[in-house]
Amino acid sequence: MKWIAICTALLASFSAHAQQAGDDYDVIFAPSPQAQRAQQGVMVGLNRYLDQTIVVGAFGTILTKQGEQDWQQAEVPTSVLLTSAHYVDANTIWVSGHDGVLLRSQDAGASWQRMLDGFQLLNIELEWLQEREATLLTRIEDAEDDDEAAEYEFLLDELSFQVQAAEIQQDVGPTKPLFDVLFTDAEHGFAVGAFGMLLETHDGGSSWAIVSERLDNPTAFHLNKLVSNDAGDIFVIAEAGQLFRSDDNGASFELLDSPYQGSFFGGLFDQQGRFWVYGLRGNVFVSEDNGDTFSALSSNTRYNLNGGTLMADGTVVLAGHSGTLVFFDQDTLEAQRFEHSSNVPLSGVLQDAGSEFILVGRGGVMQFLSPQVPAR
Amino acid sequence: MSDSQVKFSQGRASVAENLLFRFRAGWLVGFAVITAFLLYNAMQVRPDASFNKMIPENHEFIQNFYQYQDDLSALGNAIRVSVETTEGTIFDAEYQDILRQVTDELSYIAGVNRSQIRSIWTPNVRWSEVTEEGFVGGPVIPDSYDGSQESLEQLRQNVLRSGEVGNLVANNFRSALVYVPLSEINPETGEQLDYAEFSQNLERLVREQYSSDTINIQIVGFAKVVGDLIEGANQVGMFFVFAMIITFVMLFLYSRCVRSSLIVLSCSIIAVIWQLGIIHLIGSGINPYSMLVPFLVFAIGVSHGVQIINAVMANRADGADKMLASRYAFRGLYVAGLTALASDAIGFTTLMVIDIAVIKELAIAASIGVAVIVLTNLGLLPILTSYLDVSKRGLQYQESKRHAKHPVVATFTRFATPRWAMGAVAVSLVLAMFGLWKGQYQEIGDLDSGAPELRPDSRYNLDNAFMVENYSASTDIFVVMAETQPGQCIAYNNMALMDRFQWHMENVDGVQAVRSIVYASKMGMAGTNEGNLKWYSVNRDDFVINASISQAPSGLMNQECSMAPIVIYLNDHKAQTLNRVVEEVRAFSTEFPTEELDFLMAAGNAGIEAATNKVIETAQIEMLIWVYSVVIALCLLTFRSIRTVLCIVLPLMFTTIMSQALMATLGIGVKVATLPVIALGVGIGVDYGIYIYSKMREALREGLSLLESYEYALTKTGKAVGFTGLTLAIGVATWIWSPIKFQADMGILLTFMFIWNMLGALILIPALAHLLRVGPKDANKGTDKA
Repeated sequence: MKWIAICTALLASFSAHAQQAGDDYDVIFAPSPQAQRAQQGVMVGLNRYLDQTIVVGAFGTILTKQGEQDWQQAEVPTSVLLTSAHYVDANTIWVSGHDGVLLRSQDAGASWQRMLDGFQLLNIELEWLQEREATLLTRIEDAEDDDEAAEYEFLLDELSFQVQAAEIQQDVGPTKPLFDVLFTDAEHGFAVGAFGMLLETHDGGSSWAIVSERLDNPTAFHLNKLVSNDAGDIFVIAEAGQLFRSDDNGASFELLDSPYQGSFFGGLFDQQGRFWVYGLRGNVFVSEDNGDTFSALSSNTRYNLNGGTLMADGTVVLAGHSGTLVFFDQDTLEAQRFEHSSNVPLSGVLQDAGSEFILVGRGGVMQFLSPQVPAR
Repeated sequence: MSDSQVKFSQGRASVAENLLFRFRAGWLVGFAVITAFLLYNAMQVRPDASFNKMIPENHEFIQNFYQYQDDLSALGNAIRVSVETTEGTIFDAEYQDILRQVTDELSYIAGVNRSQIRSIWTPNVRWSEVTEEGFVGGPVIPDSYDGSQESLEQLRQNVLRSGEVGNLVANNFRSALVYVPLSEINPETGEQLDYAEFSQNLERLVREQYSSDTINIQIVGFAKVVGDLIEGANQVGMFFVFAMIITFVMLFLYSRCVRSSLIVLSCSIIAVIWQLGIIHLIGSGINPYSMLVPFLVFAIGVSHGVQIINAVMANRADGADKMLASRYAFRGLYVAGLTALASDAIGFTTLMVIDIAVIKELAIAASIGVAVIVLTNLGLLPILTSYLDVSKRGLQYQESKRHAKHPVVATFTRFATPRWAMGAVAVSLVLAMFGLWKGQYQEIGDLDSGAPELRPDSRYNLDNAFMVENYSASTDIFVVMAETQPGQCIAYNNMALMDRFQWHMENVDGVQAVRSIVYASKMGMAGTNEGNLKWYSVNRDDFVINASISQAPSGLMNQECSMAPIVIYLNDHKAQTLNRVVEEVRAFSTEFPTEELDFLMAAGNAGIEAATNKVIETAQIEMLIWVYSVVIALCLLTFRSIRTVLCIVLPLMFTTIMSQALMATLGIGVKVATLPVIALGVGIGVDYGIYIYSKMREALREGLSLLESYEYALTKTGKAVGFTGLTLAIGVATWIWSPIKFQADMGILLTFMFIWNMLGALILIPALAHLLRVGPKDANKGTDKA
């Protein structure tokens, strides 16, 4: 496994180099522009660890804020759209982005390194497919009967087609966005992205391998979000109502019985240990048994719900399109809906201090004061 | 020198004088024929407010704009008609009925591109939504709409889902608008859109018909500005009548002679007729700027006419008969008159250095007008007086005033004495210093928001302010044209760079928002991925890009995909803002040089204004150098003395400095309208100096002291100069009430310059002459007693 990583890294760095020389500008390698209106750009990811808040978004913009201080824009070695931020500990932060970019900071967001980019990922993907192809070939050789061989042949056909597609993709360049990162400890982590992409690292992110085959996802639905609970179970929340759960630290995933065929954009665990998932057209479901069964909640909205947070008092807050914010009482599970004055799509919400909330979305970083009067 | 009746020999008749007076009957007939012919032509002059003539056509920005003008038309020529309710919201059956009627009405007005018209009542305005099954959508007006409460609620839902809030529906839901694209050329008749008629139709068929206690109509757009401009310009005709009446009254008060007043007035009007007739003959029209020229020609004509009438009367009072009085008047004034008019004409010609068609037209029109005055007021006028004489009453008035010292003479003579001379020059120096300091704050371009051509409180600008307040898009638009190889405008590499460029520009102070095909593509990416912002990015795959822009509005790229306009919405169109935008566009191109993609500037009203500003900024200095060079050269030729030239030119420079300070103080920018005014001010201002100095020189040559010479000059022409200053000022002061902002600015500035120049000539010429020790030395010493 290790030699593959080294080879792909070498190959990738070579191809990355060629790319830089050949083109005047490539979003993967162009440093993020320092912008006086950085806060007004499109912001997608939002997270918090202890006293620090981080926001990530368009043009490689990363903003951090300590407590009540002002936002600081970090120097970031990429200009792709960044999609989420994940804390491993107070100093180690991971950020996922478009074009297969993964960023890491080891100094609490002051400086950032590109740990993976799409050109590398293309090679990893090709290797992964070729490796699977080779495995299949040996299986066909070792097949005990014709039926088994035929089954492998069928898979091989499909795989060959994917290999060809991956080779063509080498010319187009990296098109697959990554949507989320989650580390179970300092060394072991996952990243998910579009078209069923599931990546794993065992060396703190120095090398990544594709492990998409662990998911029962033949249609390659987009994987939108990673969530884990106190017990260490890992959940992958995906397009078209797909939900996956791993109780063995990601070694294997189980496809859950989904309550909904529309897409889920996020999920969270509340103070009572319930598992929430939410997504398209205001659909919200809660599971009291770690995802085995779900019950639907009324959210009072038909707008998509894209992000959520847990307030200090246990209230669950979900944020969605058209400035929609829905507050769920943790006891009655009743929803109260508000509209942020910006009316833009929101992708994340966090309780800042007391009644103040930080929102991110198409209007950039925004503020919201805890509402007294609900919207109609 | 107690008696002002110092008489000098009248000299010998010149060839010109003999030619004029020997064949005066023939000349008269000739003038009559030409006037009739030119009157016929003048009647056919049409107002012409061509947009292209107001911009510097050879500037790089404009050339770029012309190259893609057709491709940009989808962005460009449209009007927006807002229907506002003062009661409740737009989700009201009565209101919706009116909005539907307005939409229908607009689509039938000639010039409207019917198929592209948009309002929530047109079927091309739709809502859409992602559901578990995919996209669903429909027209914003529900198919089942019947004005009931349920269908209005459905409408409200659809509006919210349509993304048209801020676009077709006001942010506060109290108004909604109809977006009306225009066809510059009528596809059926092939005729050019008639802006005046179109604008009148809007007023009559829409505003008048649908406005009520509860409904307000607001209309904005380039076509409306042009329509209002043409309408406003027509009012200027009234000003001309007004100026004529005032001038006649003043002429009468001055001369107490109806006959001579009418002679001066007629000659000046004839000059205007000739000027307009010639304009038409050379195939030119009259634009809102060159409309100033008839006023100037009239006023300059009157001022020169007054000089001649003044001299004729004096000669008649001296006992000459009407023929001789006219001949002497011509003899005494034609050199000064010709010099003055030549300097006017050449001064105007220097405006030709400014590469903007309206200014060139104005320069040509004004030069023609002044040349015409040479014939009508130096030629025709003395012929007329030689026939018609002046009235007895006028002569008696002249006689009665003859021994009393005219207040002009009494007031200004003292400036030739040492103390007053020093004082005047010292005060002028202080004022000039102040003027220079203040003048630094003079700004280039238009400073007011909205349509700068019209007044800030005009109907149009109030409507515009309403739109800016209630809808999302600004009206100050700077368009950068992203130029690529054909077919490459949406290639990934180009899109990625345009994306970066857009973000770069969105971070420039004064920029509100940037829109382009890239924006549409990113919106499309998120849209086709269930509205998920995690997809809000340009994709590397050209097929994906193509799919992402399938829902994009038209006009975001040209037919052959070699150009994509990037529309930058600005807070305002102040010169600083425009400069900053231009600099940042250049900075980006320098930072990310590429062979594949050119960020060409500029289209949109703000882009064109940026180009105009650049041209005007450089032209201002150039033009001042030219006009002063010409004036100095002419004065040198006439007077052959550097000291004389200093005496005449320094007061003019003082006026120039002070008028720049005035512009800075009043917030009038240097622009297409005010730039020519500065040259006109110098060209016409020099007249006073020339008249005064030529008379002073007569006396100085006879050996009189400076003080005596100046008193002589004042007696001979002082009254006329004072009168001239006032008539010129009145002629243009009527413009201050023009509904067109730039005409008002021109009026203010010219009035200021004419009066200031007059005072400068009367006060500073003797003062400077004294300080520069003009005149006989011994005679100068004796003047202190006086």
